[in-house]
Formats: sequence, C-alpha cells, structure tokens
Amino acid sequence: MKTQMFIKKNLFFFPSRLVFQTGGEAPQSAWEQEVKKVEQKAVENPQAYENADKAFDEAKAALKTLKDTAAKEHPDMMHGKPNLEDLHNEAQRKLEANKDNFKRILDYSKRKVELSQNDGPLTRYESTVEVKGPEDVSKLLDDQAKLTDFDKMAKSAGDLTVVKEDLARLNVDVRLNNIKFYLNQYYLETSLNDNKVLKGIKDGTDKRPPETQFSDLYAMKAKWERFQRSGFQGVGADIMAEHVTNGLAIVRDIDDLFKENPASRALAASKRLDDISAWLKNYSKTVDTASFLVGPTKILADGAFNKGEYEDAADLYEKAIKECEAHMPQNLEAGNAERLAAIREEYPKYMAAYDNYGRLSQEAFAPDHAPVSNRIQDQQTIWSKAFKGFDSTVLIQPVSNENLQAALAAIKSITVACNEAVPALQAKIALNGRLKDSGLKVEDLVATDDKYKIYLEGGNFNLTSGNFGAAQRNFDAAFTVVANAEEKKRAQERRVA
Amino acid sequence: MTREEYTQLAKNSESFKGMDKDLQEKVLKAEGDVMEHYISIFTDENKLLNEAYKAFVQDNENILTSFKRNIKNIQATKLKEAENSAVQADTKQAEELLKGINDV
Repeated sequence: MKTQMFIKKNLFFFPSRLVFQTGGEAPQSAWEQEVKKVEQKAVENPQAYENADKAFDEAKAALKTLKDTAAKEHPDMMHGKPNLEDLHNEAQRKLEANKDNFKRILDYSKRKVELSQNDGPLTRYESTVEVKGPEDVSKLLDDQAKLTDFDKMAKSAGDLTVVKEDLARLNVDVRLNNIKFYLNQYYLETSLNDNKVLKGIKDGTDKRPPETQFSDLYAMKAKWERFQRSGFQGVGADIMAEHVTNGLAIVRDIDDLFKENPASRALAASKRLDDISAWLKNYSKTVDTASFLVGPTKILADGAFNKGEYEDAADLYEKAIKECEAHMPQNLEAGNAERLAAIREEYPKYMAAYDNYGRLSQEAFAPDHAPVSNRIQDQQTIWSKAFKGFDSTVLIQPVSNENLQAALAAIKSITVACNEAVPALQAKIALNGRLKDSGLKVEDLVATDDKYKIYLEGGNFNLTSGNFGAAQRNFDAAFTVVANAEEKKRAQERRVA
Repeated sequence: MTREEYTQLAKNSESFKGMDKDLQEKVLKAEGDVMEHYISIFTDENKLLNEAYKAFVQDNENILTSFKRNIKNIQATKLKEAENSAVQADTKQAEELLKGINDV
C-alpha cells in the first residue's frame, strides 16, 4: 500500500511538472526579447536594403545571442542530437542563403537597369527602326513581376533574364524564318508563273510578238541561271534545293524553245543587248561602255542575222550580252523585277548576314561574359558588320553611308514582321510560364486533352511560317487548355481532401 | 520632382552606384523626357528593392522564429527524456521496495 501510494504520487508529479515547463505563455526569456528586437528593427528600418550585409550581420548577431542565451539557460541542450550548436549552424546557413538570394535580386535589378542604360540591342533596335518588341518585352517582365509575389520573383529572376535573352534570339530566328518564308514563296510563285508563260508560248495561246516572248524567255533563263550559280549554302539551302531543280527544268524548256525558234531567239537576244547597252550608256554617262566593249561583236552578230544565220547571230548577241553583264555594277539594274533579281542573287550573302547577325547578337547576350556594358554592342555596328558586302536595294555597297541607310531601310521592312511576331511570342512565353507555374507537364495535357498538342504544334508552325496572328490564336487556345487542366487538377485535389 | 530630389533619388540608387562615372554624369544632367525616363527607372528600382528588402527581413525573422521553435522542441524532448529516466528509476526503486516487502 505504501509503495502504491509512492508510485501514484510520483507519476502525477511528472506530468504536472511537464505542463509547467512547456505549456501556456511563459514570461518572455532574454532570447525571446532578442527576437522581438529584431522584428522591431525590421519595421523601423525599411531602407536597410542598401546594406544587405548589415542586415544579415544583425540577424546573425541576433541568432548568436539567442543561442548563447539558450545555452546559458539550458546547458543540457548543448549535448545530444540535435543539439543547440546544430540548430544554430542550420539557421545560420539559412540566413546566408537568404542573403545570397537577396543579393541576386539586387544584382538582377542592377543588371536590368544596366541593360536599359546601355541601349542594348533590343532598345537600340527599337529606337532605330521603331520596333514595338522591346517595349513589349519590358511590359512582359513588369507584368510578370506584378503577377508574382516578390519571393517568387526573386527565385525566378534568373528565368526572367533568360526570357528576355530567349526573346532576343527568337526575334532573330523569326526574322530569319520570315526571310526564308518570303523567298520560298517568291520562288514558288516565280516558277509557277514562268511555267505558265512557257506553256502559253508552247501551245500558242500567248499571242504577243515572238521578240517579246523570247525577250521574256531570256530574262527568265538568266534569272534561273543566276539562281543556280548562287549556290545557296548554309541556311535556306534545304528549301532552295527544290526551287533550283524547278528552275533548271524551266531553263531546259527555254533552251528547247530556242532551238525550235532560232530567229525569235536572235531577235530577243538583239533586243536584250540593246536594252543593256542603253542602260550601261546611261550609267557611265560619259563613255559609251557598251559600244566600246561589244561594238565589234555586235557588228558580227548583226551581219549573221542579216544573212539569216540566226543561231550564229544569237550566239554572238549572247556573247555580247555576257560581256556587258560582266561590266555592269552588281545589282544596280533599275526596276522592281531587277531589284528582285538582285535580292535573289544576293540571297546567300543575305542569309550569311543573318547568320552573322544572329551570332553577334547571341554573343552580345551570352551569359558569363565580361560586363554587360562591354558585351552589348552598338546595334548599328552589329548590323553594319553583319551586312558588310551585302547589296540590299537591296542596294548596299561596303562603306557607303547611303547604302547603310538602305540596308537599315531593308531591315525596317523585315522588322515589320518582327513587330507582328511579338504578340505571338508573348503568348508563347505566357503559355510556358503558365504551364511552369501550374506544375502540369505537357505529357499530362496531351494525355488528357489532345487539343493542347494540336494548338501548340499549330502555334509553333505558324510562328515559323510567319503567320503570327494564327500563332497567337493557337497559343491562346493552348493557354485555355492549360487553365482547364489546372481547374480539373484543383477539383481533384478538393475531392481528395 | 526638383533637381535636388532627382539627384538624391539617383544617388540612392543601387544601379546608379554601379554605373561608370561618365554615365553617372550623363544621368545627373538629364532633363525633360530623359530625366523622366531615369526617374521611372530609379523609382521602379526603389519599389522593387523595398519589397525585396521586406521579404528578406521577413525571411530572416522566420529563420529566427524557427530557431526559437526548434529550441523549444529540444527542451521538450530533453524534459521527456528526463521524465522517462526518472520514471524508470522510480519504478526500479519501487520494485526493489516491493521485493524487499515480499522478502519480509
């Protein structure tokens, strides 16, 4: 009985002691007061961000005080696992990580402003050619900042920079693709038209005089031969290979027609030689270059023609034409048709220029280089480097300010497409952002909603093909699919809960 | 905004501090739309960094609070261990007492 009373008494004693020690609001200890001080300091000193190290040191000091006070009040906490020292180290590591994170925000802010201050490619691009893109980029960044709470933004600060860089690269890609698209369309339409002309001449439905018809054939032949010679190396070679094949077929057809109609061929060649001679004479102003160059050949050709030796005459006229062409300044022929011919001939250089521009832009934006201010090159320098040697009327000749202006004008026209592309790109970026935030995977969406894949692929295709309005609509539609999937996910989570 | 206020705003800016001297001079001499442009940059920066700072301090505070909570948890664990140890000791003592009584 005595023992039972002893046990009962002691068992009741321990729980009451436990409640006393840990339950309820005990009076504030010294270390609790330290916490309050730190909290108060944060409210009183909102400008302390200017010195993140100082704020960190204060928090670190408060942490040490907390530890020392706790160690003094509870020395047994210094032993075992986890002990006070472990907890202190862990908390200090978290404080350091927090400081690093904050400094990243400071750096990001500096870098963001620095980009703006230095008139980076995007900004300069905007001011030179009135591109709306960069404004939209800034707006996009700002909107993202508003949409996200700051902690989240801090974590994604790097991502936002990447978005901006990606957008710059995408702009280059889009412009490049736009040119490829344009040239593809041009050659497709040209070969269709040329085949139509050939068919009309062959079946007799073309009622124009033979010399006019054959003059057209000469121009067509010259165009396709130039196209074939230009080679189309590198970017665009894939889409151009088919057109080269089409063009060669056209040239063969023209040669057949020439063989069948030597008189018409000779007449057309004679007319073309006259046109080129007139142009050269006008161009050189003071010297009749054509007469000087091809006078003797032309006399021989005229003689052959007058004797009815049309094939010989045509060959001689063509020889004279080639001599003239060899002395014509490249791509300075007048008229829209000739301008287009010039663009075609210059296409490889054009593509090389774009490759070069893309490379330079990427270098300018590439991470891990020395300061941004050194990396970001003057936009005009980039363009002039990229377009050096490129005749852009495309009219450009090296080192001529006039030609540089012409190149910039050409760039401006290309940039119109870029302006149209920006909303589509924004829609795509917003879609990616939404997907990332929602935690949904593309595979999840494809599994549950095939429309997503259709919309996404359609958007990407239209973006590449230059149909930016359609691309934007596709991405918006895909956005809706993601939003629906999010709603389904939430509903499912609610059901589970 | 007066010129003095503008100058102060610029000089308080982290991005301004990071600029080279030439650019700093250019910024301080800015007028009209250009000045407005810089004001907007610095104001945005201030807003951004103020919010960042609040988050930074809040996180520091959370870390300290968490540290405080962990200390309490350790205290509770230590007390529990002490209780268990005391109960075991008392039980053993009681058993010995009972054994003694029984022996008697």
